Amino acid sequence: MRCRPVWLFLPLFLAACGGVASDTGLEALVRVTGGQFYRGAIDKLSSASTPTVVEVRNSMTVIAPGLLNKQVSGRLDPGSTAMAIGFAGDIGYWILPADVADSDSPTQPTFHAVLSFALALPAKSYDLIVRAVSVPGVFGPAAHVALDVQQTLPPTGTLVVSLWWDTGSDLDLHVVEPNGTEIWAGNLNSYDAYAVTPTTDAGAWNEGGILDFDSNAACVLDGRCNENVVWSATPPAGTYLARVDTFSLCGNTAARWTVEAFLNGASLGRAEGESVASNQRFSKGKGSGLAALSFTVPPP
Amino acid sequence: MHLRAIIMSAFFLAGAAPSALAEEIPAATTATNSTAPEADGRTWKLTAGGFLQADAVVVDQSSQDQLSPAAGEPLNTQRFLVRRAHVFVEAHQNALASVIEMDANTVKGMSAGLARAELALGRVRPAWDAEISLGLLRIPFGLEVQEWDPDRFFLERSNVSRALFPGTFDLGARGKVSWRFVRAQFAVMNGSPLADASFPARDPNAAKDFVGRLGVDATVVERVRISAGFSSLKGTGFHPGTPATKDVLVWRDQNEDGIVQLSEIQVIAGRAATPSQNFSRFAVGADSRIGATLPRLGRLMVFGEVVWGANLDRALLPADPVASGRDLREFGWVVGASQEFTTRAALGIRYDFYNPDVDGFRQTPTAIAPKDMSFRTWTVTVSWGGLGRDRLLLEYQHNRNALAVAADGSPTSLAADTLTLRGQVVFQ
Repeated sequence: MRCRPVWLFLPLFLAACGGVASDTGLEALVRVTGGQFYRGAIDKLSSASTPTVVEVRNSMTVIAPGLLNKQVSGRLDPGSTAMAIGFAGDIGYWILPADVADSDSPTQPTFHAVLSFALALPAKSYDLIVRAVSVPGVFGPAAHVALDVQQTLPPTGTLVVSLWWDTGSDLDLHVVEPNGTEIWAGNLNSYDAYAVTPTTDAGAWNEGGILDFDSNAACVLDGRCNENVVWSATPPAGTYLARVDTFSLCGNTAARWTVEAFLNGASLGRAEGESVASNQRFSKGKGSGLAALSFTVPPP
Repeated sequence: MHLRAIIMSAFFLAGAAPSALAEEIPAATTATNSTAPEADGRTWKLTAGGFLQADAVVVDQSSQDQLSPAAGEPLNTQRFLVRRAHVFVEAHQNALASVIEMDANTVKGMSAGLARAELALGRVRPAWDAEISLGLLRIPFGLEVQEWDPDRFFLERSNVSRALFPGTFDLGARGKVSWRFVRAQFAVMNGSPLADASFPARDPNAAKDFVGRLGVDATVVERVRISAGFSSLKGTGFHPGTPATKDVLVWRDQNEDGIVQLSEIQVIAGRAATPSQNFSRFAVGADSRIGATLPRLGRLMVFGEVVWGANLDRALLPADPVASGRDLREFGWVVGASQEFTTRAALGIRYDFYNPDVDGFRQTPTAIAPKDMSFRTWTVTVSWGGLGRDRLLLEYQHNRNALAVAADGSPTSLAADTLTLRGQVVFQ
């Protein structure tokens, strides 16, 4: 636990160092709903030979940063009163009281942990450690669960224009093609079936630039805070314009955003800015938003 | 059941100190700041005053530089704040008196509102006096609830007092009688005090709370004064019903592949509305305070209070026997003392205990075990600034509770010690 300096009341302060520190554990890479957070690496705790973790049940070993409500359950040795869980090398671990035994193994306490993961979880393999605990705080040997974090990659395409921002706000990406066609939440695809020669190609719609997602639409927060317009086929050559429309800050004071365009994986340009309350006032729809980035796609 | 009714009736014969207005506001107030001529039977005499309590929370072990994941509220409590800024206007005309008091504070952001609004009709005779009041009144229960905030030596009331009586004022009607050393008070109130967790200053049911105190207040020997009493409350709480809900389609990603599959789509069927329900609640308490002036040192004050209750917690762990399926019995007590040293300094120490659920239990892997839910607090306060109400206070609180989970899964204490500096000024 942490003891903060209360030098004026040293005798009482010394007596005060007995409680568990109040800590939300939001800085940890893995979090456990309803768990008590303790600072310290779970793999560095001294270990006894018992109690042991009898079984760990886990369905998927590949996870994504920011994943919510991943279930991990199992059974513990008789005599276990709690379980500790956390990533090896993380800043802390979580304690959950053990649950009652099930009818299959009536002497073995069970556990049910609901995990969530940090949004900034680097992509690599992690060692999730589960340890049974008995009175008076004796930790048993570690049971290991390997979890691979799969990084969320930007969508693949010939030309990709990405917008991402940092708060739970409703920002919209608008991209104007060289011919003046605007792609946004009201026009998801720049392909115009009526403007070209009639075709029997069922996949022709894929030739346009497509908006992949309207994130946080109408302030229904989805946590993505990211929108992309993607051309899978060869994009029209010419000068493009990307605009950022602040539809709503959803109660936030500001949103810092970044727009970047990629052609075959290489950056064509990048712009950063900040949306504030006054940006919400402008009219919404086609043509709205502040000009953020202009870039040119050369002829193929 | 009969015994309880008899005890309740005896307590309801009345309460503590005389004349609500004279007790509530310092006596000096009535003689200063008059903005109208002396009352002649038809004109009102106005007096005004107020007080300010500004805090600096130097250390709070439970403070974090985070927002609450659930409510989005700041978890940092180490800050400067205005705890109370009160102004009041009092008016007298013969036996009629009225007081309006406003409070502003920054405890949960800037807020301001009515703190007290009382209309009183009183009669004073050499042997006795009596008063009836209507409005937003101080609840006549126990010792701490009836103490004026600037008069309290410690920064805040004990846990049991704050849990059972969140905010010391409630809307209702109250009668007071004092005869020689006997003090009696009785009130009929809404039962939703100003800081009630559910319906502050409102009343969700028609039933009223009956609350009173019967006590004594006397100087037994020279320089020694004793006050003591019994208090009781009998009332009706409220369990809110729920509105009807619609059918909802929910996707639960059971195999965690991020893909919607038919077997993962569930229908949560809508439910009909449920009715609200009332429940019974009560509390009984006893209190005592002894004040003595010691030679060379100064005034010594020793006090204690004990309260038993059922379904009455309205702030700390609000009691709802309908939701929990059983009555929630509360028990708490507080003892303390303060001693003046010289004419400027004073030291006080207090211990308080509060268990919001005496019958609390928890499920362990092998059995159902009792759970000690109690809050225990040591408070040490140093005061500097003389014997008046204008003073500087430094207070350390050592808190013990059952809010955390130990490594072995058992309840343990969440570190929550605090060190607070307060400046207090009373103007009148």
